[in-house]
Amino acid sequence: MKMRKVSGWIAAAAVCLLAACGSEKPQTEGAKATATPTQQVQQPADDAAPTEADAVEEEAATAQEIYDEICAEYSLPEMYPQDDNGILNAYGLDAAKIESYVCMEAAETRADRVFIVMLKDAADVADVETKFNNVLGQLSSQDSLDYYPDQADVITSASVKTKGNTVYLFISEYADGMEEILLDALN
Amino acid sequence: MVRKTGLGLLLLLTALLGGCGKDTGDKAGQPVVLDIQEGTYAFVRGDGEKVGPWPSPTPTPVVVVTPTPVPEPEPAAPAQGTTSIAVDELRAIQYSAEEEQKIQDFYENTVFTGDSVLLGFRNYCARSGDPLCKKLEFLASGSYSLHNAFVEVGEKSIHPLYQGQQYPLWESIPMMGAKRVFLFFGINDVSWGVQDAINLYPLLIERIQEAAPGIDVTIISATYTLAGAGKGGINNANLAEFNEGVAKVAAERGWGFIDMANTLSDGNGNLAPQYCSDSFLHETSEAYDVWYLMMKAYAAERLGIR
Repeated sequence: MKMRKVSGWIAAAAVCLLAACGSEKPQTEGAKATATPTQQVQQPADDAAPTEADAVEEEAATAQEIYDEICAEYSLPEMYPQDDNGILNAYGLDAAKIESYVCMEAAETRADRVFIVMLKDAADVADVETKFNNVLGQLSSQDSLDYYPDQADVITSASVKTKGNTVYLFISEYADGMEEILLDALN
Repeated sequence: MVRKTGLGLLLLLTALLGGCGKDTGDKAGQPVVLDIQEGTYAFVRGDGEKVGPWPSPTPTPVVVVTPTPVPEPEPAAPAQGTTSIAVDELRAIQYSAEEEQKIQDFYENTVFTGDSVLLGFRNYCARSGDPLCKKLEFLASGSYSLHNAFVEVGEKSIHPLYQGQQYPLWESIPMMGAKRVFLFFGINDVSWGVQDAINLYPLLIERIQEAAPGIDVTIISATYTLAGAGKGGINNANLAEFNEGVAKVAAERGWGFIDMANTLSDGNGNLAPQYCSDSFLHETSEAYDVWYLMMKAYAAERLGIR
């Protein structure tokens, strides 16, 4: 059962989606972030109506921001990060080709993984997909499934997926919810 | 080179079915006949399945990152005997800034390989901002063992990933350019027979040394389970016997041997409670603090600092 927590910025996101601000992404800072659904959202100081150009200039959610939202929503086990050297050595990922990433592994007695890699070039998606499938393949061997007996179902139901230039793998009892959060952030 | 075992070393093993936490003594597996042929690393399982030798997989082009030039490490003395240091002593050792730097340099191009307990040390280092921790490289998998280190890469293997692919250690270690290797095995092996496990260690190391001539080798003893928490063949009597046998082999071969088991023990051949994270054999951050201190002390010893 999902353990939902009320997140202030999710409410703010609902405000922004309802407001006539032209933004496709929930705001996370300033007055807009704290506005309630019944309040008028403050207009920019110059009173100029937001345009499509303004929306385009807004930055897309980073992998870390998505992971932060996942952590706010679900109680994950203790997770350990991989840095640039770690993702290169373990997964063959070149950080120079990546816009942003989060590669988190649970402690040694658990199989949980939260991998979100946002690539600069769509041409690199297939390679990362292959490498994440190798991660999943290793965890799916019988020895691994025997080693993580309580998570065997979670491992076998996991799959590597892509959305645009983003490749992701969630091995977790909360994988479906994590994917929802990611897809919401990327849309 | 693998020694021929035709003089009588036929080992009966149960099927390679599980890793830590499995009560293998109760498992009715198929018998596995271990028949190591000279010149190869082949296991013929009782069901007829051949485990090795195998052709090396076609290497995937690795990502080449221009390394930052590093100074030549301080020459270290060859490994001699067992390094066994009590926790209190480890905590009391002080190093000068210059000595700290020499210790860090000692661990340049060093890889640690082993099972889930070593994976715990990897995770500890991943979270640490300490420069020594950041220098260490790891090839570790849950349930990894001396036995499955020889399994052909495929659906049944659990070799640690290197650059996104599984490789046997004698391929991945040279690919990493490692000059030193620390090995932590045994916990997932002793269930299949302590002497078998002792015999496999030098076979694996020899295979690594063939592929990486001159590599410096250090074995870290398998650590214990919490008192009374042993499961089947994974018990402290077997682990102690394994460590004793491996220490002798290491001494004979000129490999380093770090007695981590007794440093972390409760004085009675069990993992001390404060070092156990799961009431079985996985370890706490406090235990890995000790690992970290031990690695520094070992390097200091090899460098003649201590």
